[in-house]
Amino acid sequence: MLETIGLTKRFGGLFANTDINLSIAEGEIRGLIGPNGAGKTTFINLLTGVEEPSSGDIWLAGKTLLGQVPYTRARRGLLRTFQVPKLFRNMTVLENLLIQHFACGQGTQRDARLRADGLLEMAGLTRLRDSPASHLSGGQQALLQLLGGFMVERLRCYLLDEPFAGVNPIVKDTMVELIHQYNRSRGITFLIVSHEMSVIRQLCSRVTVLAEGKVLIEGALDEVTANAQVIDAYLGKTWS
Amino acid sequence: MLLGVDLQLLSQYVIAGLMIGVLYALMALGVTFIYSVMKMINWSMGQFYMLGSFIQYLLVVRWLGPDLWFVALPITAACVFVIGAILQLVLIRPMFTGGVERRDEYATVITIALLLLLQSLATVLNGPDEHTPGSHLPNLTVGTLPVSGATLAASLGGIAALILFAVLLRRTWVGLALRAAAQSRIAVQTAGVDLMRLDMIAFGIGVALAAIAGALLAPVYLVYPTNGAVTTTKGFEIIIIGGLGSIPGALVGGLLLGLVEALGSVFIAPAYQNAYGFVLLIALLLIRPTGLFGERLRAA
Amino acid sequence: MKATKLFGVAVALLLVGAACTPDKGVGAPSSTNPASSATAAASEPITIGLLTPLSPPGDPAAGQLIQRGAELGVVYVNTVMKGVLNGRQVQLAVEDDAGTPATGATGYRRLVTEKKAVAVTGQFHSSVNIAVNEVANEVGVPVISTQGSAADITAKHYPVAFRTHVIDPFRASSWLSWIQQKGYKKIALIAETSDYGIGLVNETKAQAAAGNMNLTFDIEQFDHASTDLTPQLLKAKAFGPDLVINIGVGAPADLMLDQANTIGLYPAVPMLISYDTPTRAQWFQLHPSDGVGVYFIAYFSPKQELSDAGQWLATAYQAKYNEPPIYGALNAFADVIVIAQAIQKAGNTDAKTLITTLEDPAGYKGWAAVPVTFPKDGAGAFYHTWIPPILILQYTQANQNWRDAKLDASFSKK
Repeated sequence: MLETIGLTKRFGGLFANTDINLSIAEGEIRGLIGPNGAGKTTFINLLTGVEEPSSGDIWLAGKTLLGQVPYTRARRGLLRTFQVPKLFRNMTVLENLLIQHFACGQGTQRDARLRADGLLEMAGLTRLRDSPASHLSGGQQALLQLLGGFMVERLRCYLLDEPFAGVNPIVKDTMVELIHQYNRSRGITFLIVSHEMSVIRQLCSRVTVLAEGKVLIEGALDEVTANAQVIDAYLGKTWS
Repeated sequence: MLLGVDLQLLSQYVIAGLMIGVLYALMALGVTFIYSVMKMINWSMGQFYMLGSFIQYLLVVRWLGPDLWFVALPITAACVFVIGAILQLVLIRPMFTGGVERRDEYATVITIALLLLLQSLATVLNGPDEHTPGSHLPNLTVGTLPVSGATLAASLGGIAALILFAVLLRRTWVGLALRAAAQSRIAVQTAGVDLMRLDMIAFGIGVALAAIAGALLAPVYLVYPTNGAVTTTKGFEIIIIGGLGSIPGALVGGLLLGLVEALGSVFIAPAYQNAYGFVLLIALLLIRPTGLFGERLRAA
Repeated sequence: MKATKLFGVAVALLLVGAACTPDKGVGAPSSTNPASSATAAASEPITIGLLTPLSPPGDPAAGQLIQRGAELGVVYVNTVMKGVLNGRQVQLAVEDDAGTPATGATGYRRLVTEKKAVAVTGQFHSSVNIAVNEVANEVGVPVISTQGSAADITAKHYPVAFRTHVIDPFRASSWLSWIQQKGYKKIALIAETSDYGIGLVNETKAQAAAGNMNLTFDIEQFDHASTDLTPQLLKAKAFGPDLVINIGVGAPADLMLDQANTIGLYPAVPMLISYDTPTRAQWFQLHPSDGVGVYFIAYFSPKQELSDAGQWLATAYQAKYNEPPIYGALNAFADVIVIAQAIQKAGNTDAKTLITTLEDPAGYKGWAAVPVTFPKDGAGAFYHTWIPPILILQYTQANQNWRDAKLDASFSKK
């Protein structure tokens, strides 16, 4: 479903991502872990077109995404969330969902409202439907951000950047449940960046470890956490 | 009598101040709206006011006649919307797509260049002459103030334009997207909105608001190549008073400026009418540097 | 790359903008005519500088008329007078003062140093004129003010400062005489806060007091950039005047009339407009309902007798612009031909000689039947100033041509 070939991003002399080759199958939930500064967010930015790669290629469902601006990538079914939720803070919870629907331009306003109400119900946010997004707690904001992508009919691949950071366990469970549900019922592919190993274990069959902008190792979570290099990387040591 | 001021005169001033305040708000709204979506200041707003007044004048004098001024009005707004959209496409969009550094400075240079270009073009095409589309509306009295029909029509038209703008923002998909873009340009793009097209619409709507003010005031304040100067100065005064990028700020700031000018005129002297706004502005900046409705920049 | 390209676009736009401002230079009509340039080949053409407002914030409408008159003045000198100093041609160098004192001062220097102008004319805005005269007083090349009315233009008695225009003391004394003829007692003066507006208000009050005229005044002032004069007019209306004097220049003069009409001040109370703006062609287009009945100051009426040069101009102007000339054009025309006559009489273009020659009490042919003289012994602002007769005209019918406006009164400087 999503594949990168030799993806590299340089900021001046600094390599943020170096020669990343990653392939995620359709319907997979992949975890992306690594210490701070490993280049995970840069990688997501490259995938969604917020930044242009210095070299390499990105394929989504067999077509390259290079040269596509963020909104056309979104319309091809590649959506994302942000580490610090980028909600439209002065708009209501409902409007935050509707904008996502409008942006990808399908269905009527009625459909959109029905879908949004359904999602809010599932997520337990119904009573906050008409409150401004800025009134939500941190966890609720993360949840709302996640729901945004589910508004989009043609969603195929969903990139979640630290979706669980600072989220309380109850909301976290709701999010895990939603991800599982959309993965199973609609076959949506996920790439989840997270430090939360317990959640990654619940969700992801495979994880990729990024360190210093490079892929360190890929495999099942237990496999990779046993790897000495990974332990070094997390402890902040350099390895050669 | 109040502080030695004739109450009749005071009430007349307040009514006149509020009526012009509506149009001040309209002038300021365009600048603040474009800023809120595009994060750039359009310094050539006064010239779109001028353009609106000229198009209205031509439509009324050549084809429609003064009785159909209200038919000319939406046509004028549509024309200026299209002109604005084209100018955005040709002159302003390249700044956003090219990853230009210091975009603000380019926006300033480009829109000031546009200001000079449009004003000079109007002077060349029209000469310095003044015109009026004329009005057949009768004079009447609002409260204690005798006003020309055209002035009242301009105020009511201004209110109608403001309501229409609010409906557009609140009740339509485009309005939703525009409000969203005003809050986060990145999030709106990753959500799948074609931001460049949205910018084009925002720029078109913004300049059309100034053009509506120009068209409405054409029979009242006349049509000539430099008639947009007031829009520029008052518009920016209001924006600083109300807070850059704040739509309620533009509305309240517009009415407040009209009122302060009226009160200054009656209690001090009308000679300094254009200075009272600046006094208000400076006083406000000392107390609240972000303007009435402005937000402090949040640390990222 | 991109940044440079964009900057290029911006610069290009600025240049287009600049190119679109009115023409900055007008060559002598003879320069395109091979026959006459052959006769002038022996010596260089003589340059007369024209410094006038051609762009905002100046009044380009006024500047345009002045430029037209001056250009025809050059044609007159080169054809009817057959040049000066044994057939040397005269040409005009034009600078835009933009109604801004600093721009005017720079423009004067450029005309004198780069264009080698022997005299400068075309001044319209008093504040610019005063600033230009300061520079001229150092440099020494004379300035003939075409339409600057503030006293200080000549009241400083700078030898370089000349004028062919009505001055405020005379404008004020004329309308005060008229007010007495009409029997008005309570006068509202609604004036711009400019040299012109403030000067006229002060002069009017001072002369009324000195002459024990027993008048009461209500003074309302406004900024030239104002569009809404309702506050001033409401105060004036509350005063209950017999006459309103409209001391606005450009758009404010028009707006004041309309807004006075709206609040019921005019035509219930008559209005006198302080200068000849109602003679513009669009007057009745701008004021279809309230343009009739207004009184206005004018400096020219076809009912006046003209000199033969004045008649030549009236014909040439009508032929070229398809409308009769108005005062600004007449005066600029006269300024140019007066300079040419003085050069001819002086026998050279030396600035000092030119100044003393201009002072010749015999005077020079202008547009009016009476000669143009620049009295060296004139008191105060009357120094070096030639004042055309002041007329008070009134439109009596809608769409009336200004030439047919009723001549209500006429005042000449004795």
